[in-house]
Amino acid sequence: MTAVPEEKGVIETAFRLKQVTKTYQVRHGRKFNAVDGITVELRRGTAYAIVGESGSGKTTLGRILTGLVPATEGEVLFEGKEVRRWLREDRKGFCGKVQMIFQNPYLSLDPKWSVSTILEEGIRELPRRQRKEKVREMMGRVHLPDSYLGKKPQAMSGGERQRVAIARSLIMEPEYLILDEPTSQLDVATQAEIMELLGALKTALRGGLVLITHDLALASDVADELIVLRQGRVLEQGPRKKVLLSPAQDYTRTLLAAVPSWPPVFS
Amino acid sequence: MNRTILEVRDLMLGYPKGPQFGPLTFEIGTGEAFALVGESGAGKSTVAFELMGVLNFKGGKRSRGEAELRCSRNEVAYIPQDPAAALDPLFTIGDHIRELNCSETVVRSVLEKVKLPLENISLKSYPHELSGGMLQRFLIGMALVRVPRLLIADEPTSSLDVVHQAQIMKLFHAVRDEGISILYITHNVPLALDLCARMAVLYQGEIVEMGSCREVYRNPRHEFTRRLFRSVPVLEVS
Repeated sequence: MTAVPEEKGVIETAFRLKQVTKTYQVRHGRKFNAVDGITVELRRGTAYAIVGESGSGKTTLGRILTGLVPATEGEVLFEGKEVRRWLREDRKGFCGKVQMIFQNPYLSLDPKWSVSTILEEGIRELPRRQRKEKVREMMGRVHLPDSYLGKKPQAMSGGERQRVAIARSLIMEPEYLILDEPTSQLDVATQAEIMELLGALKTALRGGLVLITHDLALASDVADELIVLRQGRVLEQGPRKKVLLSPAQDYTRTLLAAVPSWPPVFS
Repeated sequence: MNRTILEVRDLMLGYPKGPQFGPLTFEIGTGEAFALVGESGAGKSTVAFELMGVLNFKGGKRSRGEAELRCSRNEVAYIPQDPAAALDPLFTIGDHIRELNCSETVVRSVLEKVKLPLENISLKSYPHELSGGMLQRFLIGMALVRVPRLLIADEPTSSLDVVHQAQIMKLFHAVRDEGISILYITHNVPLALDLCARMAVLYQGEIVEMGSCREVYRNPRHEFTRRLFRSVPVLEVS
């Protein structure tokens, strides 16, 4: 099940990363490569999952894709254009195509704003009535009642906040969603609800989605293709089935073995 | 079951103008791992606060019932849920270790067990300089240094990735096999069922289900328990 590309029959490359490196300065003038010479292509109409343990560079890579973090070296292209330049010259245009959902819904929403203000922020240029209509449509899509429009983030649970964050992104009608551990702060029942929502979104998005996670079970739930990262490098990349059934790397096997077994085995 | 180490009877907990939890009744045997499972807001952490005697600092109080510990309070160790908030931001990692008042060999061996060898962390670093996973492992190590008789673990692996989570769970298995009782508070059902023999399911402040994990898994009686089991993500290979 993949999203249908805009023009039928044309599967084009959406993101193209060439030898991308991100270097951070750490203590005593030492340097640390969070992302270390990554070259990947993300095709349109494919759902990707970037998996790896903490410190593997997953989040940094996600932030590089959305232009939030500049790469120290290398080229980051989206639809053939340099992402950071695109952001500088036409921020609205880029944000209308690529949106990011963050890990912690307790930090990613402005505590002083109501849900309706948060959702309307991205579409301020539209006339009032259209804005309101769109906001209501989005609330329906993330299964939140309209009565929540006046609420502030503090009055909502983690799962509800993450829904608002997803609605805030969807209102821009993006082609691409980059999701950075969208459920790691939520309990399992809420996680299941958000994952179900992502499953539905996957078919609706024109471009595709990139799920960043350390949990292979979640990755296997939505992704068509897996990218395994370790220490800032791509260790393995391939269709979900191939990577999960016959992993080429020992590290991928370690990741697979670390997924808690379910259903439980009682001795 | 062996001699009980903790007995909780008709415990009612609550916050002023806030949620009320209870009545809760359960007991934990010596060397037993017991899971307290529930969604966020169910009251899991509040139970831990009460058992550690810090609930009144959190603004809550016990209105009825009691929690009887059959060991000294010094023999109870606690692993808090939020590692970043649990360490003093102005103390270095070395300062935190010195506060434990333990010999370096003991600290060294425990930190090795939690996969955080002293060589890998600078004792001069402050908590904010370590990743969430490293802090969590450090806190687990600190809780184990004094060889407790009861270990209260409040979502101990929530900020760890699956690889480290698996390592820590292995450690908890070893801790349990050494005869240390564990109250394992979590929303992660697979981990709870893997480690514990018995479990209680907390829903909206009440225990809706309690028994051996096998029994609860095979015949969940409450709708919430069924939903919890259904929500677990399964590794789909095909």
